[in-house]
Amino acid sequence: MKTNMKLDSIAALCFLAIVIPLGACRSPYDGYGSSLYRQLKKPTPENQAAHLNLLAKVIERADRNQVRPPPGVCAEYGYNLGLLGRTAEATDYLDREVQHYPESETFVSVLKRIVSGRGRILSDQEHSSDSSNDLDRGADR
Amino acid sequence: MKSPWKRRLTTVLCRVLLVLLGAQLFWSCASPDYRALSDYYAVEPKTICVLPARNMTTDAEAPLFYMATIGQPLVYRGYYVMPTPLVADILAREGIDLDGESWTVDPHSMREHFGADALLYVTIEEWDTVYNVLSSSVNVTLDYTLVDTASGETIWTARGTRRVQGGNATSSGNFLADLVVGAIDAAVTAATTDYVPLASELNTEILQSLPPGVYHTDHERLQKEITAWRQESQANQ
Repeated sequence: MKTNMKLDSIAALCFLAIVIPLGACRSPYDGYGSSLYRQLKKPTPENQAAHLNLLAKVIERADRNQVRPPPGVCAEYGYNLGLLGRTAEATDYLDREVQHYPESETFVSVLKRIVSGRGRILSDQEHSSDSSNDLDRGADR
Repeated sequence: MKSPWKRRLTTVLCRVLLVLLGAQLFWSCASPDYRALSDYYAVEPKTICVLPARNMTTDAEAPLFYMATIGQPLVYRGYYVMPTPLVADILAREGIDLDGESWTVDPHSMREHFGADALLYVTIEEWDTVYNVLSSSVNVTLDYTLVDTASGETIWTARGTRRVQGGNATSSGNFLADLVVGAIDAAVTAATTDYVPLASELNTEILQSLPPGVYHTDHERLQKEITAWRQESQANQ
C-alpha cells in the first residue's frame, strides 16, 4: 500500500515536472510560422489580414509582459502597415524595431524608403533614370 | 490495489523523467569544441539574413513555403533575423526572384545595404514523395551554409534529412488486394503529410549545432568558458 502511494507521488511529480514547464514555455511568436505559411500559400486579403492581426497580437502580448517583441516582428508589422498606406503607424513600428534591436537600423532604413515611396530602395539617392540595382552580383555560390 | 493503467502511467512517466534527466546530464557533461567555437565567435555574427532558398527539387513552390519555417528557429538560437518575407520582397523589388538568383549577390553588398553580419544559404535538395508501389516516403533534405559578409568566408555548414514513412500495409495473402490497399495507403500518406512541418522540425534540429547567438541564454556562459579555454591554452604553450 505504501509502495503504491509512493508510486502515485512519483507519477504526480513527474507529471508536474513535465507539464508545468511546457505550459510556461509558451512561444512568444504564438503561431507566427503557420500564419505566415497560410499567407504565402494563399495570399488572399483574409489571410493577409489574419497575419497582420497575429503580428499585432504578438506585439501587444510583449508590451503587456513588458518584454521586447521577438526580432523582426515590429519591422514586419510596420512594413505591412506601410504597404497598406498607413505610413505614420508604419514609421512608428519601424522605429520601435530599431529601438528594440539597434542592429536592425540599416535594414529598417531600407523598409522605410519603400513604405514612404521615396528614393531608390537600396540607396539614399532620389529616383534616377538608371534602373540598375545597387546589389553587386558576384559568382554564384 | 493499484489499477493497471495507473501502474502503466507511472512506469511511462518515470521513464520519461529518467530520459530527460539522462539527456540533461549528457548535454551538461559533453565538452564543447572550444577551438571551433573560438573561431566562430571571432566573427560573432549578430544579424543574419536568410536568402531565398535554392531549389534543387521539382516542386517550384518549395522555396516560398520554406521561408515560413526558418526565421523562428534561428531567432531561438539567439540571432537577429531579418524577416524572410521582407527580404524576399526587397530582393524582388530589385529584380531578384525567388529562384536562387539572390545567391549571385555579393555578400559585401548585402552587408552594406542590409546591415547583415552573415548570410544563410539554404539548398532544398529534397522536398518530395517517393512511391514504391506499396509504400511511400515523404522526404525533406536541406543543406545550410552560413557566410560572414565581411570576409565572404563560410563560418558554419550543416545538412540534414527528415523522412516520414507510410503505406507499409500488412499482407492479407491476396496480392491484388494488397497492391490496391498499399497504393491507397501510400497516396494518403503522401497527400496528408505536409512538407512544411518536416522542414520546421529539421531546421530546429540542425540549428542546434549552430553556436548560440548573443540573445541566447547560453551565450554569456559559453563566452566565459571560451575565455577560460584560451587562457589555459596559452598557459600550456
